[in-house]
Amino acid sequence: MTTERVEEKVRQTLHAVALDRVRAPGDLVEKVVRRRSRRRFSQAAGTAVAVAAISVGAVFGFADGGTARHERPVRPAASPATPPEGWKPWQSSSPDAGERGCVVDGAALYCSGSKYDAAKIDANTGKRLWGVEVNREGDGIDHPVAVRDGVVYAYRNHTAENLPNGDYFGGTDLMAVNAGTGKVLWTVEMPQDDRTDQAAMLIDGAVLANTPSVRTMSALDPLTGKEKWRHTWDKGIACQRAVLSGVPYLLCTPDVEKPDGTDVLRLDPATGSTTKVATLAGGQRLVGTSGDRMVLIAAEDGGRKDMQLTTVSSSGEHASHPYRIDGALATSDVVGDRLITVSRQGKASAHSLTTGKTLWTRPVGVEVPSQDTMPGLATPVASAEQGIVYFFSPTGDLSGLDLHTGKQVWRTHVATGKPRPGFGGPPQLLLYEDVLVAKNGSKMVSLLPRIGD
Amino acid sequence: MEASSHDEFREFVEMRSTALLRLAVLLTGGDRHAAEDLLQIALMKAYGRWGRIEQHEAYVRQVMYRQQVNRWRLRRHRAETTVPVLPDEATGAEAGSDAELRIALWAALGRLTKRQRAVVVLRYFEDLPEAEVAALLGCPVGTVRSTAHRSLAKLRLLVPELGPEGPKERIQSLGYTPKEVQR
Repeated sequence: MTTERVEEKVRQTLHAVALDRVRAPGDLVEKVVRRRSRRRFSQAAGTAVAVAAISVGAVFGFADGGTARHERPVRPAASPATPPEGWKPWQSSSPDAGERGCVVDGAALYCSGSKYDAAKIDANTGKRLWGVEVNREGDGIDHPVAVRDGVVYAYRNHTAENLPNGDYFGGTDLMAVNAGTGKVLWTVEMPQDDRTDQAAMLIDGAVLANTPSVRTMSALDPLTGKEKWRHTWDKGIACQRAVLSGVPYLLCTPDVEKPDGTDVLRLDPATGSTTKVATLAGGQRLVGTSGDRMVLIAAEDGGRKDMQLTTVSSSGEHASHPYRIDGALATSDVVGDRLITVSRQGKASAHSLTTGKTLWTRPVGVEVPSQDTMPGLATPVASAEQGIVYFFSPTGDLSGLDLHTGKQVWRTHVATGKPRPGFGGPPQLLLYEDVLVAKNGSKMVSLLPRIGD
Repeated sequence: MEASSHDEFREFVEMRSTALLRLAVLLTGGDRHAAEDLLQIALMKAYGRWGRIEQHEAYVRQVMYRQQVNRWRLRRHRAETTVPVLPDEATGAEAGSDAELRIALWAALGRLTKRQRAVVVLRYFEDLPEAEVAALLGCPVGTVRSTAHRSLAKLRLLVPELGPEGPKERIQSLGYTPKEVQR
C-alpha cells in the first residue's frame, strides 16, 4: 500500500471513531476548579504530613518535616522558565511576616511570621498586603495550612494570658482568615501544639482538624468552623492522616514500638463514615502522596537501612518494593512517581515508586549543612512545567536538577542572610509558577531560574 | 479569578468541552479516563490565566497537544479497563475487509507513542500542515516529518494488511524528491 493510501486509511479510521458517544461530563467546571484548588493546596502545603515525615526523620534519618509537597506530573526534559505577568525579581521587604513559613496561592504568598500569624504578600513584588497580628507571640516554624475559596487557614496562639502560676503557655488555635481582607472568620482551639501538616488539612467540603482531642479528627465547616462530623479512634492507637483527591485517610497502628500492622481507613468526607481499605504488615510511616496513592515506608526486620517502600491506592491496592537508605538524609520528598532524597554526603537520588529502583544519583549541587550545626536543606520543589527539581541550602546555594536524568541544569547563590535566633527551622523553597521564592529565616528572595544561560 | 471571567470560563467549557474531550480521546488512543484527565489539566492551566489568554480554544488545544507529548505520566498504569472508543461496527457495503482494517488500525494507533499519536492526530484528523503541527508541538518541522514517517512505518508493522512500503516510499525516505524517484 502506498504512503498516500496508508495516510488515507489512517484519516478514515480517525474520523470513523465513534466520537459521538463521547460527551463531556456536566460537572466538568466544578471538577476543574476543585482539582485546581486541591492541586494548589497540595503544592503549597502538602497532602503528606509533617508528623509522619518527622517521625520518619526521627527513626530513619529524614531531616525535615516536609513543608511543601508536589504531585504535579513533570516533563522529562528541562525547559526554560517564563515569568508570571507583572513579576519582577524582589527581595523580602516584609520583615517579621514570613519567618515561620509560607504557602503559595495564586499570585500571593500567605505566610506566618514573628509579628503576623497570617500575612498576605504579593508574589509579584514582595509587598505585604495585610497581616493578622500575633496573639502575644509568633515563634515557631509553622506556616499557613492552605488557602481555598478565598479563605486562609493558619495557626495562632490560643491565649495571650499567663497561667495562674505566672508562666505563659499560649496553646494553639486553628483560624480561618478572609484572604481578600485579612479579617479573621473563626478560630477553633486545638488540643495540642501540633502545627504540622497533619494537624489540619483540606478535604472535600470541610477542613479536617485534629480537634477537640488528640485522638479525634473533626470535619469543620470551612466558613463557620462548626463541626460537621468527627471520628475518634481508640486509646493506644496512633493514626496518621492523608488526603487523596479530597478524601481523608487514616493510617492507624497500635502505639507500640513494633506494631504488627497498619490499618488504612477511608473516611467519607461528607459523613465521616469509615471503610477499612487495607491492612499492611508492620508499622508504616507516611512519607507523601503521589496522585491517587499514599507512599509509605517501613523498616524491614527493624533495620535502619533496609526498608520497604509501599504505595497504597485510594481503593486499598498496594505494592511494595525494597528500598535501601545509605546514611542519614538531609531532605526528601515525593515528587510525582519519584521519591527524591538528598544524603548528608550531598548526593541526590530519584527512586521510582512504581519499581522501587534508583533511577539516578547525582551531586545535589548545593552545600549540604552538617547535621549538628545547621538546619537541613529546604524540602525540594519540582516544576512540572520545566521538568526540574530544585534544592536550596541555608548557605544560599540553589540548584536545579533535571528530574529525568538528575543532571544539573542550573545553579546560583542568593544572599538570604542568617536566620534570627528563635527561628531555627530549615529554609523553605516555594514555586510561584516558574519563579522560585527562597526563604531563610526572615529573608525572602524571589528569582526566575535562567535555565540554559 | 473574577466572577465575570469565571462565568466566561464556564460558558466556554459548556460550549466546547465535548469537542475537546473527543480530541483528547483520540490523543490518548481511546482511553476515556486519560482523555478526561488530559482535558482537565488543560482547562486547569487555562483557568489560571483565563483573563490573559486571547484565543481560549487554541490555548486549550495547544496545552493538550503539548501535555500529551511531553508529560511524564506519574500515575500508575490503571489496572481497570477504561471505556474503549472503537470504530463503529461495519455496516452494509462497508462490511468486510475495510472495516476490519479500520478496527486493526485503531488498535494499532493505540500502540503508538504519545508523540507519534499526537502527530498522527494533528496531521490526519485535524488535517494540519507539517509547519503548523511543528508550531503547535514546539518542535522543528523535520521532527514532525520524521515522526509521521516512523508512525506510519510502525502502523505497517502492527497492521500487516497495510503491506510494506513500496520502493518509491523507501527511496523517498532516503531523501530523494518525488521527481527524482519518477526519473
